[in-house]
Amino acid sequence: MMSEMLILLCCHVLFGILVGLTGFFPGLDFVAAIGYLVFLGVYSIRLRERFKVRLRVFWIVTVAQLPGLIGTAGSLYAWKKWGQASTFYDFFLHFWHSASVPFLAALPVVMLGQTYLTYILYLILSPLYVLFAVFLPDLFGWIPVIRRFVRGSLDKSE
Amino acid sequence: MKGRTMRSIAVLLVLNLLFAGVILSENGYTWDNFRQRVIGQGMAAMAKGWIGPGDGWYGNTVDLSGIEAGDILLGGNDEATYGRYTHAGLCDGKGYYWEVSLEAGVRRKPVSYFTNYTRACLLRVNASPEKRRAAVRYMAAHEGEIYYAIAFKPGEKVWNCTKTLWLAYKRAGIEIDGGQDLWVIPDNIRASGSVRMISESEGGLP
Repeated sequence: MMSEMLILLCCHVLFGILVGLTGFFPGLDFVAAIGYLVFLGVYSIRLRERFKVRLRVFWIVTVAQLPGLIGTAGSLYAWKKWGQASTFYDFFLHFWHSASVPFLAALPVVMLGQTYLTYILYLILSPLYVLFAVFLPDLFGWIPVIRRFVRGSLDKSE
Repeated sequence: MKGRTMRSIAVLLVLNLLFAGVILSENGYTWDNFRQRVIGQGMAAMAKGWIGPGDGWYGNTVDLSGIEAGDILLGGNDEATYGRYTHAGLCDGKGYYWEVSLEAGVRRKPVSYFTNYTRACLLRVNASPEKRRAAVRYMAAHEGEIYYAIAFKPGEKVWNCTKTLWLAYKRAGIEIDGGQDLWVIPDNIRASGSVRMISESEGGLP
């Protein structure tokens, strides 16, 4: 289980750097961000195939997203204590979620009360990643084409 | 499963190195000049433990009385990663300036905020009042769009504090980046030949 956690953590960081770098070539960053979502989707379906139990996948993804979850908790604590301001936690979250920046940038400007939607999204992205990885296999893992693809890649690599 | 995934990680690593190499060489980085460029200076600052926009907030007495639309405000604290000045804003001439912040993206704030920095300066771009007003309109048109600290010069989707006003003037045919580097840093705007100093104040410990 530990190696799967490390793989997810490494891929999150490396895809974040890739999306950040491809920002130099507008449009390519969006492709890289979609690449990360596809990777996360396929990997989570593979994890479910391997471990069978949803709770195990939950723990693997949660540990891989632990830095982001700590950033979210710190940012929320700072928000409650000092109001909405740029803290170390916000900066950290901002870099941690580099892989999602093209999607956030594509959203329309929406205010929720006094707060921008993108600011709130930064705070909930880590829990969203966990939910995405845990429940995606239930939503799409049964589709024959996806099943064949994931099984096929499992057979080749094992 | 692991063999295939490890190959994916290796591919990602190679892609990252490849893109980094291309971007650095596109921006004129070489082994010889690396230390003088923004990344080299940033790495040297980080080696001293200067990480982030600096600390201090001792205040200054910069003269904000003669502000016109399109003027640029720079502010900075000590021990920052990327220079003496770390933040920039574009004045609207009505007591406010446009900036890009992490929590709200492109937004407007009162100019008096800049007196909180340890040092601040007011710069005027050598351009007609119409071009300067056009720069303000450009920035206002992007209100609410998101901040990304390492937003590169190309593209108009993500912003940092200097990219917005650099592009606002670039659209008007004026280059305010005196450094021609990967990113526009406030110190390079101050050093640009396209701006002149209106006022500057260095605060510090009382």
